[in-house]
Amino acid sequence: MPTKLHRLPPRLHPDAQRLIGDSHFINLVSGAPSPCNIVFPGIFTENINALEEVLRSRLDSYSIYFAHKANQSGAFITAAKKSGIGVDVASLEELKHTLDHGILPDMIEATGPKTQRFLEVLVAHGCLINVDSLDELKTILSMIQNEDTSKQRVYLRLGEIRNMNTHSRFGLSRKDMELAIKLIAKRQSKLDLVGIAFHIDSSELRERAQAISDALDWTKRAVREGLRPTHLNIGGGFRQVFSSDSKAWHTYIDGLKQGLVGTAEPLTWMGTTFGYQVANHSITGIPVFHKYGNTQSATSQLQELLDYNMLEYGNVSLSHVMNDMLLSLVIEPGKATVDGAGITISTVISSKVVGSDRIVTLDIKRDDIVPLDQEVMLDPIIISRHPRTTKQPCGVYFAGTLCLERDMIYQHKTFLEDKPEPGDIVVFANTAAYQMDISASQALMHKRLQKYVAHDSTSWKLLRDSEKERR
Amino acid sequence: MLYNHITDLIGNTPLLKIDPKIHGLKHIDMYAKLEYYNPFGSVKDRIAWGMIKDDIHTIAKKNQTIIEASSGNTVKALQLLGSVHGIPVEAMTNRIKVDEVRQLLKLMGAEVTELPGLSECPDPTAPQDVFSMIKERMAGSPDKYYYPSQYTNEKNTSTHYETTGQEIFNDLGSIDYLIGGLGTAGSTAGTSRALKKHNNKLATIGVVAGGDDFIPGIRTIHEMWEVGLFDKANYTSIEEVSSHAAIDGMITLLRRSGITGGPTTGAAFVGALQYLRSQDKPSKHRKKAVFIASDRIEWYVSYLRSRRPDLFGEISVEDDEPEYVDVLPILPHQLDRQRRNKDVFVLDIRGQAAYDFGHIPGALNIRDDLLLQLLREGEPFPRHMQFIIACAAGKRSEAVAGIMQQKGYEVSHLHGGIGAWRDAGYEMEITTPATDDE
Repeated sequence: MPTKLHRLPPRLHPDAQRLIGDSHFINLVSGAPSPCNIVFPGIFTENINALEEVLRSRLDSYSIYFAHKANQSGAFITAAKKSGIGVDVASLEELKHTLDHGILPDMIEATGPKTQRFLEVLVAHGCLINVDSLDELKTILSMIQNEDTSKQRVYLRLGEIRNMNTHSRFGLSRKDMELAIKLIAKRQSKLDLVGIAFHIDSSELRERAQAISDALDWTKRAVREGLRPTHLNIGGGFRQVFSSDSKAWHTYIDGLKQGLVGTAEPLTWMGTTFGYQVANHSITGIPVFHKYGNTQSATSQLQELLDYNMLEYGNVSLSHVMNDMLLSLVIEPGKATVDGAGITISTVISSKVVGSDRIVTLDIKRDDIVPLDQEVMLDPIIISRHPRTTKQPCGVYFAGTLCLERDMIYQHKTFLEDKPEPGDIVVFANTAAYQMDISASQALMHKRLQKYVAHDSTSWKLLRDSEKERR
Repeated sequence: MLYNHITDLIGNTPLLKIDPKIHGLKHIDMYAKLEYYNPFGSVKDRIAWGMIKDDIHTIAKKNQTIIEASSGNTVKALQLLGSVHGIPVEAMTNRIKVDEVRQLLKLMGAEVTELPGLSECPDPTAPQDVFSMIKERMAGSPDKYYYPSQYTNEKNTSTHYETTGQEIFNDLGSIDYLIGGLGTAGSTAGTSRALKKHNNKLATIGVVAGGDDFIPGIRTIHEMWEVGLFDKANYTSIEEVSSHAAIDGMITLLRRSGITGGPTTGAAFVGALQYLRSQDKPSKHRKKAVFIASDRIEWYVSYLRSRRPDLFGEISVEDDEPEYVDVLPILPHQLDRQRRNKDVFVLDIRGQAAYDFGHIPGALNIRDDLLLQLLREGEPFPRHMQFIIACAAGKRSEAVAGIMQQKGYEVSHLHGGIGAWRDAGYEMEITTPATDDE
């Protein structure tokens, strides 16, 4: 049976395209650097500029905080500094890393659950704290009780959004919001409520608008208690565009589903269902992977949101409401800022047939590029060390270096133009958002992949990233 | 005509011949099966009744609640059928994207659970899909629910086999093409099964929304995986139609044929033409095509407005931007001195919510578009009054003040707007509601 080539073509930024297309690329990454991660701070800056462009054209006042958690590279923090945006940190180490890269404390915001030590350092530096619980607010108060410093600036993170059938484990319940606002109102000499914050995972426009409307009501509530919030923080969750061909992507997913119901060749390793529920010839449920076929960019998503008609405000756009209310809009994009700004390089160790499948083993492990065990549905790009004249198209499963059966880089089949050979370079496109860092481990004493920064002068250079070394 | 029960009004809908001038096909006659003539306004009335009628007395006797996954028409029909029989209905959905549908369901007394949109951080253990949520809810109270399950219930298909298909045959004899939007796939599957008995060459065309587009009531081809009743082999062709084209088709039918079908009807019409244009060749007998007009246009006004503001002739406020007139700008500290003068009025032209949220003490609030309307219609203020116009950032105020100045009022505007006033540290007054609404 001739192999049907199902493809999941990745979108590669032109800069990354030029780097891996360079005739010296193989020499550049062979030996020492591979396996490695390569980041492109220039692409980061491009993404920031595009978001700013949308904000600037509609809002009188706004600010952007880069969510550091998306990537640990120091080069991105330096780029954030150059762009004049702030950084959103979620741990003590991220805070130190950010300060080390010269970001001023008043440009730093801390989100998520925070340890005592983390809070102490935040308070000492006067960073903005996005309060995650009533207890946290009380801890902050106890820290500044006897200090004669300037007011501690805080956001209150709304955890329970009106009319939304979902509960977040983050932020304050409606009851705690009441108490927190009253507490801040009582301690105005110590605390400054900069604004109400929230974050939702969903990309549904209506839902986000609904959350904003609720956050605005809480903002009014705070004003009635005598506070003067000036900002509204709508968090992050802006999308990435991973695929260069959404149609092909969906065709692959259809093929995968056909494989699961048994009407076509299986495309998953050992019958993995990715969380789909398979029944007779229908498939329901939500898969464990992202919508990698998404075509909407973060900027168009932001644009739609800012132009969204707010019915309860006289049917004018959200940006109009924000401007009228003299509120500054704050966003905390992570993945959207590093979209396209990183690639991961690995090398083929071996290629062998197991049962009826071909396994191609790489010198990295699943956790090096697959975030939180959530399958990545994109084809890597193969660069042959010795390009062959007659190609052998084939479907393969990529496996990793761990001593575990589960260490399959991908649990879905990847179709390639040609059979890979040991020494061939395998490039995973667009891995900068969470993929490189969030799950990377040092299992089996493997070193974490080193990060390099791509510098494009007369010829490409890969320089060590200023990311902190970890042990 | 006398009827004894609302359920007697379900089915036997009219079939309307479409004027060839409108569809442009030379050798094919086209008909619309006007399903919006059903009592609750859609094709779903048939299957809602078809799925529950055999069990309706048992459901009532056992005090059960009907639960269903539906974004609109099915739950509308189930709710009304349930309430006339004293049976409560719960709908589970993550697909209501049209405000009127939501409001109407509330009016009808339906209990609707809307699931949050899909998280960008996928988690298959989070019960975010309607089908698992229904299963979970039913497992929680085993005897409480009756679940018709329109996406898998064979009665969905057989209802159309017995009624819709038979009606079309009674009116037209055997036909050559059947076209319908794909939601549960029940209407096209059942109707075509009935009509194939009389013409085994019948071509069935399923219409879906293209790519990631959204047409309320029908699915994209990728979403058809969730539909147990859908079998691709039943279809000669699956036509993808964009929401834009569907709305254009709907408008054509509305304005030229008087067919008040909704976007799905437009999609079926456009999908039909997409397919039939290639089939339009001379043959021994003229061919007959029927498409299904599923429901009415009225439910979808907000959807249509957001997709196609052009159809509503909407012009934004910014379009009547006045010509530039030199108006005296004043700074916050000057305003602070002048505002205590009895003849000086500060007009805050922002929206009411923004005004309530914080304004210059003593300022009056007249929103810019209302103020401009007053000025267009006459002379709303006595001449001795002096005005300082204030907006958020000092841009809109300059333009509005310019118009007032042309009208002969003594007017200036706050440079930098109320933002500058606030940032200079001046007092902001807030409107405290009479009763606390939180």
